[in-house]
Amino acid sequence: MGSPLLRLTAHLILGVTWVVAWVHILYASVLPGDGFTAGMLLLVAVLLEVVVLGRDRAGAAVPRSLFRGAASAGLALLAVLLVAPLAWGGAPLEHFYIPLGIARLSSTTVFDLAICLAVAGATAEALTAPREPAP
Amino acid sequence: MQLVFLAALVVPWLGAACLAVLPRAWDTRANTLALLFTGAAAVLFSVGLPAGHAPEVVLRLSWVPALGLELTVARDGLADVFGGLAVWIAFGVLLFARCYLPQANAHEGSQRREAAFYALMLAFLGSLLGAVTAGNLLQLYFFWELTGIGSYLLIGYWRHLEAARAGARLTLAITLAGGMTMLVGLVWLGLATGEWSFAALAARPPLTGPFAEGCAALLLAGAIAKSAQFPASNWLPGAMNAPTPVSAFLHSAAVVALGVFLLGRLFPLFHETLVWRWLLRAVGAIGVVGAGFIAVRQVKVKALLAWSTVSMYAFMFIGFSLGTAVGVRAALYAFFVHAFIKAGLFLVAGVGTHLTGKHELDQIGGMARTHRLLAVYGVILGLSLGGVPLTGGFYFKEELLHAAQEEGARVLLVAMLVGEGFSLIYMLRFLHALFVGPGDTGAGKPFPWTMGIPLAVCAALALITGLVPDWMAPVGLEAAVTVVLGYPLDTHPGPALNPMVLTSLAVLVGAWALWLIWTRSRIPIQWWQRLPDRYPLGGRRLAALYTRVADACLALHTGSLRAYLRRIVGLFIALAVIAVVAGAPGVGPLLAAPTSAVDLPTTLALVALLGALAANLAARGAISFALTLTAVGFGLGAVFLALRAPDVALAQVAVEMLATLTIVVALRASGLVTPAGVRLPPGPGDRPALRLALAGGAGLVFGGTSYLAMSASPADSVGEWYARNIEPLTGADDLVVAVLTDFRGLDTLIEVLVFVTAALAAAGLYRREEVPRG
Repeated sequence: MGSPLLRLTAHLILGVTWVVAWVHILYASVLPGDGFTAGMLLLVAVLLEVVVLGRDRAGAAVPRSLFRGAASAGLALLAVLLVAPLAWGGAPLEHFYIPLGIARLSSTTVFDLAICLAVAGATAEALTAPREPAP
Repeated sequence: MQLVFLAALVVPWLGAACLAVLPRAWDTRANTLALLFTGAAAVLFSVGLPAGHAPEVVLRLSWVPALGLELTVARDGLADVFGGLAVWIAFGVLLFARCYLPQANAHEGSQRREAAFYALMLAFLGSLLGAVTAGNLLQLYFFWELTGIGSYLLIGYWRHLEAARAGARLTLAITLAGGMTMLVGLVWLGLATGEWSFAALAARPPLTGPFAEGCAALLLAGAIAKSAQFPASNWLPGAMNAPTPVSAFLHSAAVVALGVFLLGRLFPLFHETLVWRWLLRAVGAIGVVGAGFIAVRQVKVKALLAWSTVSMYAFMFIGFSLGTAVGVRAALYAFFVHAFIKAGLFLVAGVGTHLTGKHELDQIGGMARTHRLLAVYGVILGLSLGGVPLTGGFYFKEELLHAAQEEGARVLLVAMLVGEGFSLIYMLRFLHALFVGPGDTGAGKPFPWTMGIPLAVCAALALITGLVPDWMAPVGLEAAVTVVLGYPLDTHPGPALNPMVLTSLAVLVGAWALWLIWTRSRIPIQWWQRLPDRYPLGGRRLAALYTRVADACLALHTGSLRAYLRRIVGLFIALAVIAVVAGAPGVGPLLAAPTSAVDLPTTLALVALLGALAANLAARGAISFALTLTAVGFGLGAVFLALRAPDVALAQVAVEMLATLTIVVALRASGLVTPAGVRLPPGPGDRPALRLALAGGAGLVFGGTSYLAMSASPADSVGEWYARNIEPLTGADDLVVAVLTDFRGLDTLIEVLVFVTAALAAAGLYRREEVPRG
C-alpha cells in the first residue's frame, strides 16, 4: 500500500475523473470523447486505486456490487434503447428525444451513458475480482 | 390474434427477467412464478392453433433494406407443432421441478438459487420459440445459438460438479461448431439466391448442382450437431449431468428437436440433392443401430435414455432422407410422439432418483411393489418407446418402415428393424431394473402429485396416439406436413396388418426372446461394455489410428497461453502469405501506388513513435517494457492527433493507460515480480528466434493490411455520405446524433457486448481457474 500522499492523489484523481467522464458523456456530440472514453478514464482511475491500495483494499473501498450494478444498468439501458423505438414504429436504436421542460434529452446521450456504465462496470468487476480458492 | 401470438413469444423473456432479479427472500415463490409465466405462454401460443392453418407473417420490421433483409416473426404449421410441444412440455417439466429441484439441490450440495434455474429455463423457452417462429435465415441462426448458450448454462447449473462443467463445455463446443458451419451455409444460401426469408425460399423449385450440394452439407452439419447424431453424438450423454427437468425438456423436445425442425425448413430446397439423400441416410443408419447398441450397454438410467434419444432421432433423419411425402409425414409423426414419450421417461427416471437418491440401474429396483402408479406410467411409456403394438411408438416406427419400403431402401429397412429390436431390449432392461429387479425401492417416500400429473399426461398421450393415431391431425401435424411438402398429403397410410407389420412383430418377439435369454444367462453388463474393446468397429488398426489421432489432438493442449498465441499469430501470417502468393486481386497495384506527402506535425509524431518503439525493443525488465509500450501507444495517439482525428487519439491514449495499469496489476498479482527484478520463465517450445520471426511477421502482416486498407479508401468518404443522407434516411437535424445512434448504433452495441463478454470471461477465469504458467 502506498504512502498517504499517494493514496490521497489516487482518490483525488478518481474524483476528478468522475467529472471528466460526465463531460465526455454530456458533450459527446460537440467535443472529442464519448461514452467509451468516459468508461476508459473511469477504469484508469479505478486501477490507480488498485495499484496504490492493493486489490483487496481497493475492492473494499469501492463496493464491487457497484460495478455489477453499473454493468447491468448499462446493458439494460442499451436493451431499452434498442427496442423502445419499435413501440412507435421506428427502427431499432433510432434516435429520439425526451422532453425535459424547456430542454430535451437526446437518446444519444443516454446511449453514451449506457456504454460508459457497461464497459466500466464489467471491466472493473473483472479487475477487482477477489481470487477464490481452487476447488 | 397476432398480438396474442406475439405476447406468447415475449412472455417467457419477461418471466426470465423477473426471475433473474427476484429477491432472495422470494426464492420459495420462484417455481410458482415460473409456472405462471410458462402457463400463460402455453395458453397464448395455443390460441388459434390450426385446423388447416395458413402460414402468416405476424410481425415484419425493416432491417437491412439494401439486402432485402427483414426481421419477421412467422407462424405456420411447423412452428406450431414444434413450439406448441415445447411450451406445454416446459410447463409440465416445471411442475415436476416443484418438488424435484429443492431435494436435488440439497442432494448434490448445490448452493445455487432456484430462481436462477427457472430464469434460465424461461430464457431457453423464449429462445426456442424465437427459433421456430424466425422468418429469415439469420434470425433463425441468432436464436439457434441462443438455445445453445441456454443449454450450456442449464447443463452447468450444478457448476460445482466437474462432470456438469465438462458436459456443458462439450455441449457448447460441439453445437457451436455445428452452428458456425451452418451459418456459412445460411449466408451462402442467402447471397446466392438473393432470398433470406423461408417463405420465399420455400416457393423456389428444389435446388440441384454443386452449389446445392455444398450448401446442403454445411447446413446439415448444424442439424447433425444439434440433434446429437453421429459423429457429433457424444455431447448428449455428457449433458445428462444436468438436473432431470433439463434433460426432460431440452434433451427430448427442445434442443435436439431443432435439428429436425431445420430439416423441415430445408426440405423443400434440398431434398433432391445427393448430400441430403446419402448423408442423412448414413447418419441415420449408423445412429439407429449404433446408438441403440450403446443404449443397451448403459448402467446409468439417464445415459440409457440419452443414447435412446440419439437412436430415435436417427429414425427421424431417415424419414427426411427418403425425400418422399410419406417419409416426411412419418418423421414429423415420430418427432411428435417421441417428444412426450421421452420427456415422460426422463421424468420417470427423475422420480426414481428423487425417491431413492440413486442414479444407476442396478441401484434402483422393485419400485412396482412400492409405487404402483409410477410403474403404470413407466410401463406405458417404456413399451411405447420400445415399439409395442397399440402404442404411439409402434405406429411411428411402422410409418417410417412403410416409407422406407415404398422407397425400396432395403439397407435402411434392415437398420431400422435392428434399431427397433434394440429399443425394445433396452426399454425392457430399463423397466425391469427400475420396477422389478433388486435395489432401492424408495419405500416410505411419497410420490408427489406435482410429479405425477406431467407423467400421467405423457402416458395418456402415449396410449392415445397408439389407439387413435389420427387424433394429431387436427392439432397441427397435417399443417406441419403441408408446410414442409408445399401441398397437403392426399393419402394417409393407416395401420394395417401387412407383411411389414408382421416383420416388425417378429423382430419385437425376437428382441424380447433375446432379452429373456440375456437375463437368464446372467451375462453381466460389463461384458457388453467391454465388447467394443475386444471387437472394435473397423478393426484394431482403425481403433489404433483413432487413438493416435486423439493423442495428437490432446497433445496440442499444452495449457500454455504463449504457445496458443504463437499458433494464432502463425496462422494469420500463413493466411496473409497465401493471399499474396495466390495473387489476391488488387494487392499488386496497391503496393505500387504512390503515397501522399506527410506534413511536419505528423512527421514529428511518427519520429516520436519510432523512438518509443526502439526503446521498447531495447527494454529488458517487464515494467520498463510495459512503460515503453505505453509510450508507443501515446506516440500513436499523437499521430492520430496530427492526422486530425482527436476522438481516435483520445480513445488510443485512454486505452493505452488502461493497458499499462492492467499489466502492472497483473504482474504484481502473478508473483513474478521480485526485488531482484521480473522473472519470466520460458514456456514449452519457447525459442527467441521463433518469437522474433513471429513478431516481425505479425508486424508486417498487420502493418501491410492497414496500409492496403487505407490505400483502398473509396473516393466518396463516409462522412460525406452521412451528411448527404442524414435528412432523407433519419429525419434528424443533428449529424452527430444521427451517426452515433441511427447509423453506427448497432455496430457500437455489438462491440460493447463483445467487450463486456470478454471482461466477464476474464473475471471468471481469474476468480476460479488455476491457469498454468507459461
